[in-house]
Amino acid sequence: MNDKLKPALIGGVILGILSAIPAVDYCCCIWAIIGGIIAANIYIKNSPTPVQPADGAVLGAIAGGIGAVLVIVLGIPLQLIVGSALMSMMQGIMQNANPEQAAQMREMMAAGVTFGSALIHALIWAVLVVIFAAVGGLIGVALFEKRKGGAGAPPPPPAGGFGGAGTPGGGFGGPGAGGGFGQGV
Amino acid sequence: MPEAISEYVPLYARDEESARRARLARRAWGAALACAAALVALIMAAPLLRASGAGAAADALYGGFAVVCHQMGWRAFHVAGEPLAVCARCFGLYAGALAGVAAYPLARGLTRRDLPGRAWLLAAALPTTVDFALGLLGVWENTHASRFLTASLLGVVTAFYIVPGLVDLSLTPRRHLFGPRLSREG
Repeated sequence: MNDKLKPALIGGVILGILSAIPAVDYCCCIWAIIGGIIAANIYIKNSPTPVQPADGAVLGAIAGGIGAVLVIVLGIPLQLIVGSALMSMMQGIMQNANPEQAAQMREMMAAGVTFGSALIHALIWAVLVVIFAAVGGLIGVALFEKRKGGAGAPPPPPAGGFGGAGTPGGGFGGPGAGGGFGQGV
Repeated sequence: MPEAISEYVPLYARDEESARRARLARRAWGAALACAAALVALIMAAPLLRASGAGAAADALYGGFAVVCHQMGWRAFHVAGEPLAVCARCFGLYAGALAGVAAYPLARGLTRRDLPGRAWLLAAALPTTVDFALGLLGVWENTHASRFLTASLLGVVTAFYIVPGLVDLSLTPRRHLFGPRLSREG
C-alpha cells in the first residue's frame, strides 16, 4: 500500500464525516482544509525524511477526493432525511433574533432540497473540496514539518555545482575553456 | 588578481534544466493566478447576472458557491443591488489570495520551493480569528470591512504557501509523489 494512502484516508474520512453532517457542514470549507492538515500531520509523523510541500498538496488532494466520495455517499441521504427539519429549526431560531434575516432564510429554503440539486451541489463541492484540501495539506506541511530540509528549508544546490551537471567547460571558465566551479563530470 | 570569495557575484546560468524549471514554475504560478482570478470573477458575476436578468446562470453560480459559504445576504457585499456569491469574509479570502498570487513574483523567486515559516501563517490568521470570535461571543459587532480586511490578509499570506507548493508539485517527478517513500536528497 502506498504510504500516503493511510494518512489521506484518515484525513478524508474526518473531512467527509464532518462535511456530511447537516448543521456541522455550515462551516464553509474549513473541514476540507482541516482534513488536509490532519493527513499531512499524520504523514509527517511517520516519515523518516523531511516532507516536501508537493507531498502535502498530494496528500490533501487525495484526502479531499476520499472525503468528497464520502459526502456524496453519506451527505445526500442525510441532507434529504434531516436537512429540511434542521433548516426549519434554524429558521425558528433566526425568527426570534431578527425578522429580516428570517425572511432571507425562508427565501433560501423556498427551493427545498431535491435529489437533483443536492447531487449538483455535491459534485461542485467535490471539485472545490479537492482544491481546499490540497491547500490544507500545504498548510499542514508548513505547520508541522520542522526538520531540516523540509518545508522551511531552501532546496539543495544542483548536483553538478555552479557549472551544472554534465556541461564540460561550463561555469566560470566558459564553454570549452575547461575551467569553472563544480563541473560535475 | 582574483577577487575575494565574498565579492563573488553569482552568474545566471541558463542551461536547459534551469530553463525547464523556470518554465514549469511559471506555469504553476500562472495556473494559480488563473484559478484565483476565475473564482473572484465568478463570485462577482453572480449578482451582475441576476441583475441583468440571466436568472438561470446566476442561480447556478449561487448554487455552486452555496457549498462553500453560508451566503447570508446581510453578511455579504452587494453589487447592483444583489449579494455577491459568498460572504464578505469568504470574499476577502479569495480576493486576498488573488492579490497574493499576483504579487508573489515581486516578493519571491518563482522557482523557490520552500515554504515560508509557519509563524507568518499563524500571525496572518490571528486578526480574522479574533474578529470572528469576538463577533461570535457578542463582544463586538463585526462589519463587512472588518471581515473582508482581516480575511484578505490571511488570503494574501496563504498565497505564499500555495504557489511554492504548486511549484514543488510541478518540479517533483511523479515517481517521488506516488512511489514508495524515498529521500529526494540523493
